Amino acid sequence: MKKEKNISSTHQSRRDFIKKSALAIGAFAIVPRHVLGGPGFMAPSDMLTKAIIGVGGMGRGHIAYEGTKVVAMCDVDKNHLKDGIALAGGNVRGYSDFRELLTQPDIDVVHIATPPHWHGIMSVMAAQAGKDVWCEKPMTKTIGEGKRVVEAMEQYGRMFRLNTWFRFKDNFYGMGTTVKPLKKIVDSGMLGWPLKVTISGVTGFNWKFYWVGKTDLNPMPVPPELDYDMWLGPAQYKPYNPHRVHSTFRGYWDYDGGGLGDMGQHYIDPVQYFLGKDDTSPIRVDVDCPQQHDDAVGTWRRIEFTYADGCKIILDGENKDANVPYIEGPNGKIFRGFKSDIPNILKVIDTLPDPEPQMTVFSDSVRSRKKFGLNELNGFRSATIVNMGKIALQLGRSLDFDPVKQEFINDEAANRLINQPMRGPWKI
Amino acid sequence: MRLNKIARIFFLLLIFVPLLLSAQDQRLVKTKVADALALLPATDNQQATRIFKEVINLGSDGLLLITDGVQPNGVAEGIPFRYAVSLLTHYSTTKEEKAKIEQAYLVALKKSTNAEVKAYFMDNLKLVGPNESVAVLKNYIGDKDSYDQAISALVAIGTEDSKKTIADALPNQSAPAQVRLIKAVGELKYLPALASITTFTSNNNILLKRQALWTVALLADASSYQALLQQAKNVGFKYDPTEATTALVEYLHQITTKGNNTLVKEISKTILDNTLNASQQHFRLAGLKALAQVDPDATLVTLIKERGRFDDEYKKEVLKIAAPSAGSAKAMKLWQKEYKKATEADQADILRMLAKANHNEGFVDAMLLPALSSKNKPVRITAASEIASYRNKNTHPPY
Repeated sequence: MKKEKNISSTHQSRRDFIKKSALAIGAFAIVPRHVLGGPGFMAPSDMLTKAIIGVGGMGRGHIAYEGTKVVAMCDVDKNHLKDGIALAGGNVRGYSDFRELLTQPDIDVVHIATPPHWHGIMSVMAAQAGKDVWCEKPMTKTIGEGKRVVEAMEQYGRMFRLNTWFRFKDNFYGMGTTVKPLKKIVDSGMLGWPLKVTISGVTGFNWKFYWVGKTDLNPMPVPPELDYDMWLGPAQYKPYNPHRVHSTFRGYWDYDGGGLGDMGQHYIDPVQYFLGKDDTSPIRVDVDCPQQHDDAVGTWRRIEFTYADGCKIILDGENKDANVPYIEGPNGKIFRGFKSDIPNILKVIDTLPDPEPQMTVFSDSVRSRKKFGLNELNGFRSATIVNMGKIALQLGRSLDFDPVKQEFINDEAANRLINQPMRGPWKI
Repeated sequence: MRLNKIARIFFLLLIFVPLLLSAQDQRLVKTKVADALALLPATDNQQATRIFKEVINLGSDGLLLITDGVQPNGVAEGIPFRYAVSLLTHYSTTKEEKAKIEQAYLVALKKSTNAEVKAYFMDNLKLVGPNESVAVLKNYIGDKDSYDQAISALVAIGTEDSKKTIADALPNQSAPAQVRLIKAVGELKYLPALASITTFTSNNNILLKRQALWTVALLADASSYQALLQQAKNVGFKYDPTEATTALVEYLHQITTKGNNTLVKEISKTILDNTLNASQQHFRLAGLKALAQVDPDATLVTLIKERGRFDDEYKKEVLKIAAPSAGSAKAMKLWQKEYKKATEADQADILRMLAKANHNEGFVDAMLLPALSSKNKPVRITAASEIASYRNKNTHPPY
């Protein structure tokens, strides 16, 4: 998208220049590409370029993601930036302000691996700068921010992928298989309808309750390597304490939502996919939890989401029922490890048609402009489930939700948490 | 004499008994608050609701005992009090409850000398604060430590009074406070402030200018077009730190939502005339999208021509814009003509776009089935894939 054959301009892009140079060389020596580079060889001109924002934790894993070359990195912690650049081989430009990075013309894709309170703003600003976006989960910290990301990707014709992948690859935790056979059996109707899905330690999913916050954080001096004001960004100012930042940020409502925020979209998105709920949201959320602190995220016992057709997604934090199936329908059950009361279920699944193919390589998505399997639209829906749960936990009550208007019904306080004010000049 | 003595005793009793009773009541309230604090955080919703009811029934004395106990973050003794405030904020549902709690928070706000504690109460007012909070919050707009939280709380309250307070406070504030106020006007879409905000769109302070342009875009008044256009022109319709072009694109989006089609066409055409460089193509796509939305027939030829611009990825985005209107007879005719003269790869893209726009048996028969015998492999693959997609969608179980 960044190279050009502009009918009205003589401006030449990076990839165009490399392509033309390669053609010129080719004119003197016509050698097949596979001879030059071997099977699967990708010419430099075909390689997409990427920048990674946030390289202290998850962002480091983004260096190796296929089909792209890192040209720039950004972090508000000087030590993280230095280590990230070294890890990428050194030949990478470093930035401390992502806004400067976004103005660079040689970046095709921006990877956002910051804490979640930045995901929405950075995704929207990347789209406004003409970049495609690869964003860590959870997609956004609030429902309102999610709506804006959807709008911005549509407005500017940008491609978006969310960085969780279980709907299209890898064994899905306790199931011991990919999600595909689950999708096939659900689509076949053999389990009946509506379905109840229980995500718990019993069915093979750990809610990581160690991501809770502390309620007695003493203000401490900000270390010199950290630009704390920029780390906070849109979040309200709270005195620095090392537990607020870096990996333990997950335990604070201002930046994430504990184990639910961290793992929720990983676990719930594939369920939304195989239930066929990518274009809707639950109509109700019920919670059973201790009272939550208004800064530090606490634990919870049970969160239950109900769809209009009666399907339920149950998050069991207590692992109360030792025999609970992962999926339960009127005509059949599937347990952890893909055990089932349906005889020869794996053989049955082999006979069922495959689900519709998904786009699973983001660089292909960028080139073809076909939506990635997990994009801003279905990603927004699964992020909304997580964000509905977070609001219900904070308020300690059940909430009804309108999936079309994306608003809570008759609960003003809950609706005030859909769009949360951003500090200072930050906007979305 | 004896009568006089009795009268004196009676008089003393009259004074001291209420005082003694009041002190006893106070001790009772203190005990009840202490009992409630000892139970926090509540273990479940039922317990939280019960404690909330007990605390709220203690009246203003009880609520003030709780708010008085809030300490700066990190002080261990203050933790149960913060849980109690959190309980009050999150479990209040009726207007009456919220009003009582709001009063206690406003008193606490005035009493506190610690910026973090002040910010904490303002944060809580975001959820419970009705209109009465506006007059108090107004006093903190000029406070360098508290303006952001105060304005955020005013935005969350969102009444006409809070909107007017925000707009009226704009002159004579520090630049950071003005940036936050201008943003608040946009968040609340308070049109009466448009004229004063517009003056900031040519400010030399980039932060003020950027925020003013964005807010003017969100207010989406037809009269703002020239101001936004001028700033986008000044930066050559490029992505820049003032985000002037982004603001113009957002304005276009808002005007499209409002249904002012004449203005949408004018803005879109101006964007298209000024975004001929590859680095501007995402702005160009936004212009094309708006134009295609309000005037699909007239945009057909533009979209077809547009496919000769930039690179393959851009062409594919243009086809996405064309898809919603490609079902009409006129569009089908024009796109079929394009299909015939397109390159192999382009043919497959056009076929896919037309298939999405014409999800019916007629299109399967007329275009997709014949395409299965095309000499062009991408076309054959696309045809097969679209037929499969169409057939699958039409045989999905009815649950």
